[in-house]
Amino acid sequence: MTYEYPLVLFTVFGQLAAGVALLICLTNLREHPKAELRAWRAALLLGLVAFAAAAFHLHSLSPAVFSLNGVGSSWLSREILAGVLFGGLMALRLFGLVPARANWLVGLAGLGFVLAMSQVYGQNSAAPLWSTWGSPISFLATMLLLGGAAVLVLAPEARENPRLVVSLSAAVAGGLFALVLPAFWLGGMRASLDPVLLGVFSSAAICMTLTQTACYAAGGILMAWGVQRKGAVLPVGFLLLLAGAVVGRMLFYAANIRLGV
Amino acid sequence: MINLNQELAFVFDASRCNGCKACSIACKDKHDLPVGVLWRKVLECAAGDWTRNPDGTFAQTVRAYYVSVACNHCENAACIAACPTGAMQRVEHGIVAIDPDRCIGCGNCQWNCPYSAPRLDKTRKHMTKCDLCRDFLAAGKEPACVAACPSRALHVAPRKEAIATLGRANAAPLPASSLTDPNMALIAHRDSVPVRESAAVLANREEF
Repeated sequence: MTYEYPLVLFTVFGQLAAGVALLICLTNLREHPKAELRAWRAALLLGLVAFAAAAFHLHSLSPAVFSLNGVGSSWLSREILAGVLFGGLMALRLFGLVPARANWLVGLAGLGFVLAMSQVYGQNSAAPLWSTWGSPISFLATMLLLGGAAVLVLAPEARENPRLVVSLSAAVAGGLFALVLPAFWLGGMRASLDPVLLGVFSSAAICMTLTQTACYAAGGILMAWGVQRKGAVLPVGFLLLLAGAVVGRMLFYAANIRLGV
Repeated sequence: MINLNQELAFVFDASRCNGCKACSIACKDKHDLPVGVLWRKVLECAAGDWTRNPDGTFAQTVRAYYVSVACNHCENAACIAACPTGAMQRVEHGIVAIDPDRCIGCGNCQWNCPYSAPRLDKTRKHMTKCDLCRDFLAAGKEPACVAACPSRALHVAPRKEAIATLGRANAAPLPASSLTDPNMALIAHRDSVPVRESAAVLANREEF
């Protein structure tokens, strides 16, 4: 099994950045300009971390100028295009070149970025465990989970209703949906895949899904505690959720068991 | 002499192959491939079992055969569609070839190919794969793998005729031909098993 660590970091941090952008929009954070600015800075920084991680996955950077050539057929090319658009819009918003009333546009760009990212795997017919609805659902869920949790951490002044309800709902729904991914793999396992690889993967899947669930549960409890008591445990809870997302994504890449040879 | 005015396909006769792997080594030698990179693989297939008869004797259905496979320059090439930079291209004779100056080595072509044909060459820092020995074809010679086969089990032939006569390769341990429409025609071994048993019969996966 290979975990593709650069891609694990790219997808998790990319979804986190997109989640923050979406939650800024959904919670109408522009009513708290300082918190909004803090959130945009964090989102852009996270996006840059994701971009840097993606670069480590490549073996030759100079031909990357051709990366949009395949946009007509390649979801990877579309993902890069969506990522560039999303990152560009975030930067423009951060530097005030896009007005606050256009926050929804940046949020939508982030959503499009995550959807395109999921289709790189969801449309891969040679990898039956990837080409299920589980891929887009788990990617969008991770975006909501981490975005909702991050906004709670980044914008303490916005922890009032209905913003609090929106952030918490996004995080809880995202956490629950992110954990349904293995259920989609059961369908994919009916394909003609190497039984030895499947056996090893299944054992790892059980252990890693339990670890992911434990991280989400502990992180969720700490975050709930932190929101009520306004304590410093909130960032710790967020880091646990982030760790759970990383473990889940490692398992996702390990699911690259292909048809054929 | 190969007629160069048409698209080509591999034709593999599994009933002739004895699994010597001369094709694989000739390819590796011709293209100077590093350790760990194989463009042509010889898949060993093993199937069957032993069963105990009511009278205490044993019967067996054990069988084995080989399939030599490289890039099949598929009609519906998943690698071309997946490549973000356009490095994977269809060129003369229907060959699917990589432009090394455009390849970023992302590996998306390999992930999407059910034959795992594109391989990353870490020394060259880009994906590489069978190009049907374009230079040999241009010189009127057969690809290295074809020339090396002592059993004459491997050929290149005009694509339309080969596929029309023999059909696309669709037997274990290969994936279903419907995935990418491979330009590989297969004369199946008498013991070939159906595609749905592909994963179960491949006996030398660790070699790749």
